[in-house]
This record gives sequence, structure tokens and C-alpha cells, in this order.
Amino acid sequence: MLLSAQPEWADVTPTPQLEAPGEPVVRIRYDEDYEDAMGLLRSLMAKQELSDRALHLTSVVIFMNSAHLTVWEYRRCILRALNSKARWLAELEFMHEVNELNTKNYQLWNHRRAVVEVLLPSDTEERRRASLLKGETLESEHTLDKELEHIEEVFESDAKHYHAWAHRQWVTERHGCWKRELALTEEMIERDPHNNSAWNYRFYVIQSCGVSSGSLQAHVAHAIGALERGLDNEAVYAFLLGLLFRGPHRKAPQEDVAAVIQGLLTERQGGGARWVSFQATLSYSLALRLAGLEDGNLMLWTSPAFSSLPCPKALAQSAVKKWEWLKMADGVRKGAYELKIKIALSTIRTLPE
Amino acid sequence: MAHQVLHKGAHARYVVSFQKDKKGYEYVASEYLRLSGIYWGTTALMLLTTKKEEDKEKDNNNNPTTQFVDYTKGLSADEVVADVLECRNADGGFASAPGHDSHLLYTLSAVQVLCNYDRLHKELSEEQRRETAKWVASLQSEEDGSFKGDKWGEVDTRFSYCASSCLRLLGFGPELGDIIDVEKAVSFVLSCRNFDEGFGARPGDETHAGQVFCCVGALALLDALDRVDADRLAWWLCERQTEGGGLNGRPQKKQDVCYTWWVLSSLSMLGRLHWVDRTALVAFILSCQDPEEGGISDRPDDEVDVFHTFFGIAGLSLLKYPGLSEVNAKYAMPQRVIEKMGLA
Repeated sequence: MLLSAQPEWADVTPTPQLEAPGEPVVRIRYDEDYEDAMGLLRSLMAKQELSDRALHLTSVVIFMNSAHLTVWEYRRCILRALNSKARWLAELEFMHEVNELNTKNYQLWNHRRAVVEVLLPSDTEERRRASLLKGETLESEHTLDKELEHIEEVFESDAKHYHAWAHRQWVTERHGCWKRELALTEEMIERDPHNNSAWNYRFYVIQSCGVSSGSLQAHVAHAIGALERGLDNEAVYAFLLGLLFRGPHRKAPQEDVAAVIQGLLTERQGGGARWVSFQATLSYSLALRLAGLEDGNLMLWTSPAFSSLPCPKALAQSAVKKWEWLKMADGVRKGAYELKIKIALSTIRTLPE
Repeated sequence: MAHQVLHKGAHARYVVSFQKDKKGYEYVASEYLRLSGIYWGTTALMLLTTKKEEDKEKDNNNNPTTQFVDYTKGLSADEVVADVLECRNADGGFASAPGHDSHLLYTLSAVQVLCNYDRLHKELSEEQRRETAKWVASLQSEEDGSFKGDKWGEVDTRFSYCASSCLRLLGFGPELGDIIDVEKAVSFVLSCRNFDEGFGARPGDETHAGQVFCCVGALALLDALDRVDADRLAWWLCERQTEGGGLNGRPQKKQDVCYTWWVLSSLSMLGRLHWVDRTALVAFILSCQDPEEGGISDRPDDEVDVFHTFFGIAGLSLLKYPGLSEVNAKYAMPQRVIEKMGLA
């Protein structure tokens, strides 16, 4: 029996889809149920009914089509109007069920944020609103730990889930709980050293937590360790270059940075295009900095700690040699290497011997 | 081999039949993005259609051997335009389908379709266009310059792109600085730049090819593309090419036809399209076709859909595959439309 035919909905006239009249077509049952529920929902939205039955109806529609953003928003309006703690808590289970149907859903994660803002208030305004929620509930409260655990559960089925990682960062920033995140990224990297999402997040965790004496070496050693499981690891190389040139290096002790770079410049047995490409980028980026052509206002690069390293010209020349080799070894990107060589050669001409 | 050529006719038939089957479950269930579906489908048909003179192959005596086909005739322009206008709301924005709330994604799609059919100024008066522009501008955060997708608040760099493109297409390019805070819009996009030089959805979010397109596009539209290190970003982009020849969206993920568009258009805007291996990429895209039923899928042998069909065709156009109309990388619309509007 269609929903609209049930006594509960007797007072509502469904609003049909605005389509031009066409030939009657035999539809499958599923279509009819969906159209029927949507018809009722359109009528309710038109009169802005914010009731329990409206909430239930949004559940019905969302289960049939979870990408419908207007319905999700209507659901939130209803929840806010009902202002019931129990209802908000029930959203956790609801979202879990929707997730079972379709995990790659912007709406679900958008909704989750709204729920977390209510159940885990993090500022004065949110706490004030939370205190106004109606009704005690015997159900256990939602906690930060539980929220973080939920995200880890999503990682079980998809370790690179874009929304889940973004959500994790959002939660962590709100609650300032960066410390445990380092351990999370280690665990995720252990499971899959090629997980770019984990490395990306790790960079931001390190940047937020800061780099104390010795920790830069530890982070680099950990990254090199991941390379043991495969040198063809784009994520690690991006991470290392980020660590050394894009922020964290600014706060690390100068000797640490120099020592780490010295180690990385050492030839590794059995190269491979990605490793060679990394070393070339490392050499060239370093050359620019030692020559004062980039990151010029950072005292780090003029430190005597770097005196044992090759001079900028030699570093740049070694990069060029590697890129020449890569033109053949990684021919798919030949055009890019040619430009890198061209730019480097013109820079080299300006460098002292 | 069936995959060595682009099956233009089949794809056109697929797009047309999807659009026409308004009672079909797929059509009904995709209501939440209906207007974008119309944009993908109709733009695909336009790209499949070249100018009469270009499309004719000639035999040894220089006589045309193939018939020119206008694939856009499969759909009635008036019906398409009517469908689009039905999605317009009182607030000036457009929804994915009638009865839904306005959203930036669909507002952009609506404006793109109207422009493609050269009906923007005919269907929307200047006052109406200003209403739409005002609605778009209302979605910008005064605090950080970001754009929400709709009045409810989801922020994402996709929306910075949608807003910028929409305002220019509506004809308000010259007044952009009066309508939105351009500098703040630019700085928000730049705040989403990561250590690998790429861009994510929000500050700190992982670099993703789709977001890179939106950010590069937004910066180009806001005249701030020089704020990007083109060589470094282009390098990240060309590293998306995998062994299979196709492009992925993030390191160590699978190749997918839609990334062809996001990556190539970004490279094109950065002036470094030659940094990918064209042959391998073309072969990959062609292998994702369904030669009989038409349509293109994300990967070989997967189910086709209008989204991947459009992006596959658009990608091939960027790669100068013969028999396709030129596509404009920044606007993702036919180049001839963009030139006619004076936006090239």
C-alpha cells in the first residue's frame, strides 16, 4: 500500500513532480513508492510542517535516495524545531544505516557535522544551545572518543575516504586533540604505506604540534621506513619535501634539518623513477635555498650546519643529470622534465662556482 | 578493435535517451542533480558536433565522404531551456529540479546551459540576472571569503569556482569587485593550498584533482592565477598519469575518466597540457566506452553514466581528438560559445 493511502497521511495531498503530461508508462514498484513519498514530502515542505511524522518521512525518502540535499536540510530543520536530545542522539544510528547504503555521500557528512555541533559542543554558543535541548535521555551520551572511533570504523572499509579524513580534521581542530592523531596516522600508514590521505593528515598534525629537537629526524626515519615497503611511494616523497621545505622545518633545530637532508641525499640502492625524481627535487630545492633564491628570509639556510653539503651549483647540476635520466625512465612525463631542466640550466648560469 | 575510435553516434543516442526518459528510475532518482545532468548531456552533444566544414572527411577527389551531423538536434532547445527555467527559484538561484532549494552547483549548470543555447539574455532580463548574481554573492562569507553551496552552509572550494564562473557568465565580470570580495575569495582559495602545491576542499583537506580544477579555475576567473606556482602544481597534476595511461585523482588511487577532465583542464589553464602522454591517455578514455549502447564509464567495463560521458568527451576535446568541437578549459563549455560571449 502506498504511503499516501495510509490513514496517518489522510490530511495531506501529495504534490506531484512538475512534469509535462506524457504517456502513462508502466513503472516498477520502487519508483511508485519513491514518487509517492516525495509527493507527500513536497506538501509537507510547502507548509513547513516540522513534526515527528515529517521526520519519519524524511527517513523514508533518504533511504530510497540518500543524495537528496533538500530533504537532508528539511530533516535538520525538523530536528532543530523538535529540539529533542533523544532525537539528535538517534541521528547517530540513522546515519550509520544510511552509510550502509551509500558511503560516498556529501550530504551524510554534512549532516554529521550538524549532529556533532549539537552533541559535542565546542564553544560558548554551541554549549548554550546544547543546554536548551529538551528531555533527559537514558541513552548514553555521545563522546569525542566515540566520534573519533566512528571515523576509524569508516577507515576500516575505506582508508582513503575523503570526507572521513576531512571530518576527522574538523573534529580535531574543534576540540584541539592533536596529540593522539600522530598515532592514528602511524597506524594507518602501517596498514597501507601508500595511503596519501594519512600522509597528508600527518603533515598537518606535525605542523600543528610543532617539531621539537630530535623529532624531525624521527619523522624522517619513520617515512624512510615506509619506503622499505616500496620505493614507488608518491605520498612519502611529497610528505618529506613538505616537512623540509613547507613549514615544519622553520621550527626545527638547524642541525636536525641539515643532518636529515645530508642523509637523504645519499644514493639509495636500486633507485626507481620516483625515488630519483624525489632526490632531484630535493637537490634542486636545496640548491635554491642555499643560494638564497628561495625562502630567502629564513636564517636556517645560511647556517654553518649546511657547510658540509655540496654547493648550490653542484646540487643543481646533479638534479639536471637525474632529470635527463628520467626523461627516458619516466617517459610519460618527458615534457615536464624538459622544462625542469631548462629552468635549472638557466638558474645554474647565475650561480657561483 | 572496437575501442580505437570514438563512437560519437552511440554516445549522442545515449545522452538523448537518458534525457528523454523522464519516467525512468535513473532519471527520477537523479533529481538531486538533474540540472547538472542536463548540462553534462547537452554540452556533450555540442562538443560532439563540429562546424559543418570541419566534420566532413574527404576522399581522394576531395569530395566529402561523411555526413555532417548536428547531434544537438536530438533534443529540443526549447524544451531544454524550459526545463532549466523551471528550476529557477524566487531567490534568483536555481535548484537541481523544480521544488528544491537553490544551490550554487545547479545555478552554475543552469547559466551554462542557457549560455550554450544562446538564450541567457533572451530568457533572463538584466534585473533577473542581477537577482541571480546577488543570490550568488550572498553565499560568500564575510569572514574568510569562502562560498557556501546554499543558504545552509556547506563550504567547499568547488563553490568558489561555481560562484566565479557564474558571475562572469551572467555578464558581471566588469563589476566583479563590486559584487563579491574578490581578494578574500582569492585568499580563501589560496588557504586551501597544501604542501604538495595542490588544493583541497577546505584548508588542510587533502589535494584532490577535482578540487585542483575548481581552485585553478576560480583563481583564473578572479585574475589571480599568477599566485600559483604553475610548475609545481603542474608537476603534481602530471604525476596523476598511471601505468594504464589514464589519470587518477590522488596519489596511488585508480585511474578514472573524469579525472581526465579535472587534470587536463587544470594543466591547460596552467599552459602545460603537453606534460601528459597524450597517446596513452586517449587510448584509456576510448577503452571506457560502451560502443553499442553508448556512454562512457569511469573505467573499462564499468557502467556508463552521463557524467563520465561528458568528461570523457571534454577530455578528448582538450587532447585535440579529431572530430570534436573545441572546449574551453576554464568554463567547461564549447569554445565557440565562450568566444561569442567575449569571455575568451
